[in-house]
Amino acid sequence: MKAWFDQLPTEARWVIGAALASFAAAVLALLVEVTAILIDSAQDIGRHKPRIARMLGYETTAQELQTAAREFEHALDGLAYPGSEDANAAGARLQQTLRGFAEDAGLTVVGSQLAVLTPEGADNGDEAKELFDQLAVDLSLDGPPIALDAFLVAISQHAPALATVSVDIQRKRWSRRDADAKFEFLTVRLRVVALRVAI
Amino acid sequence: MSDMNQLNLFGFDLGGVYRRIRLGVEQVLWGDEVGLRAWFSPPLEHLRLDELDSLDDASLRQSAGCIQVLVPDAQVLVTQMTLPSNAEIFLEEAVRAHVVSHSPFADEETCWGSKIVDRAGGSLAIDIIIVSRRTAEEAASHAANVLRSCGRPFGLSAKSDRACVALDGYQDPDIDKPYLASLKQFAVRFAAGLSGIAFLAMIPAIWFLQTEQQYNELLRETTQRSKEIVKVREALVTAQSRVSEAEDFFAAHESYRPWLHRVASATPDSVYLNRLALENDLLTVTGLAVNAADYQATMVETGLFSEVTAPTAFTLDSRAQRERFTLTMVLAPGDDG
Repeated sequence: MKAWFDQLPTEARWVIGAALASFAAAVLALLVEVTAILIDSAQDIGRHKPRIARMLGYETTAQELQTAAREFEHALDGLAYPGSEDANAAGARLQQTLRGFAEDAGLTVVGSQLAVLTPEGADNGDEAKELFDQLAVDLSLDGPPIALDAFLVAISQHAPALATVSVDIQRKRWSRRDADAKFEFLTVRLRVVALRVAI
Repeated sequence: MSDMNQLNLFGFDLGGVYRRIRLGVEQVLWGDEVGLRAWFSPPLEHLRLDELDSLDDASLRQSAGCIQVLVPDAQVLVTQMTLPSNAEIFLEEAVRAHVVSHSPFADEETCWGSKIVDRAGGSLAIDIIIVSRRTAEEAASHAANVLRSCGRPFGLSAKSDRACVALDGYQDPDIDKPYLASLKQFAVRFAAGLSGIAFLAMIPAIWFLQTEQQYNELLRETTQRSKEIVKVREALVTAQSRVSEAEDFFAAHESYRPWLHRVASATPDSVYLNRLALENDLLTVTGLAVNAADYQATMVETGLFSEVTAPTAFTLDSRAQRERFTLTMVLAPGDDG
């Protein structure tokens, strides 16, 4: 074959070489195309299979998923205010509740302030803030220690859950009503935080 | 030539390239070296002019092949010419010039034909036949009378020492038809064969494409059907992550009430606390004690606190006759009651 090719005129060799090269290129292109189709299809099939299987699995366990979703929603209700409620409205309600707790416990509310921290405004790296707004209420209270204890009990039993993130207690004054009894009054500043589902 | 000279690209003359490509194609199709013509063309029959009269109609009709009628040697002038191989693209012009210079006939009375008979040593050996037009016309007329009636295409040629050379302008247009038909048939079959092989090669790809399409359809149907339950699942995942995050948040903020009780129970009656502050897990207490260092030791000994330190020096309050102190400590983890 080589001897045959070598004895050809130069121009004929060019033409035959170009024809063979074109043919080889076409065959190569066909092989590449077929291979690309095979790989693409195999990849797509490989991607689709687990997705289909996953969705079929969801369908099979639909009842359990619905039950679990309800249970977690219920659990979430005990931990955070719902997102459907406006943050400021929820914060105002929390503030009212806390003031009510304080008064019920025998504390005098000197001052209170609500701050709503949204995930956009949060920059302290607290992961909870990414999924939740934080409703922070600063309270200034006066009263005896026993009342403070009762107030903290009320906070710990509240649902949705509340977290006391700081407390500053100072002795306010000594008062002597009679010779045997002493009443200790405290000035308390504390910050209580509740979570609200961020939307 | 003027047309060829107009072919140029960025100032490069492409006329020569074009002529070489055309020459290459002609060599492939018609050249003896490649052998395509010998392979696909029916064998040529060579007959001398004087043999035509002795042939009968029946024997001529038995075959459909082409005939080359040989002009008698006595009426043919044979010359030879040598040309460099790379000048083959100018072969026609070179032969014409050679014929003009060697022909004993007037220009318009001269017919000729040429054939490359050897390509050795980088040069072309060319045999050229020169025939007077009158002789050629007579031979063609005679051959036509005999052969046309039998439907046999023919051409005029003459033998040199080394080859049979066809006379230009005296070749029946149909003389190459059988060769071209065979070549075309082969090309069609070859293309059909290639298409078949390509189709076979594509079968797995087609099968995969169909399977992929089926999976796409199944995915679409399943997605449509399970849209609601997927939403429920997404809601579950979101709720799970929220519950987890919320639990982590509340776990990170300890309840201070048990710690207040612990501080109270750990503090001796002789110690008066003026201020108690808790922020995250840092406890700061300020007050008066008979011996502040003892109180610091007491807090350390409880084991409830770590890093019990006094950021300022203890100082004696002369009015209360006690030491004024400030202590900071960290709530020990896991003891939030």
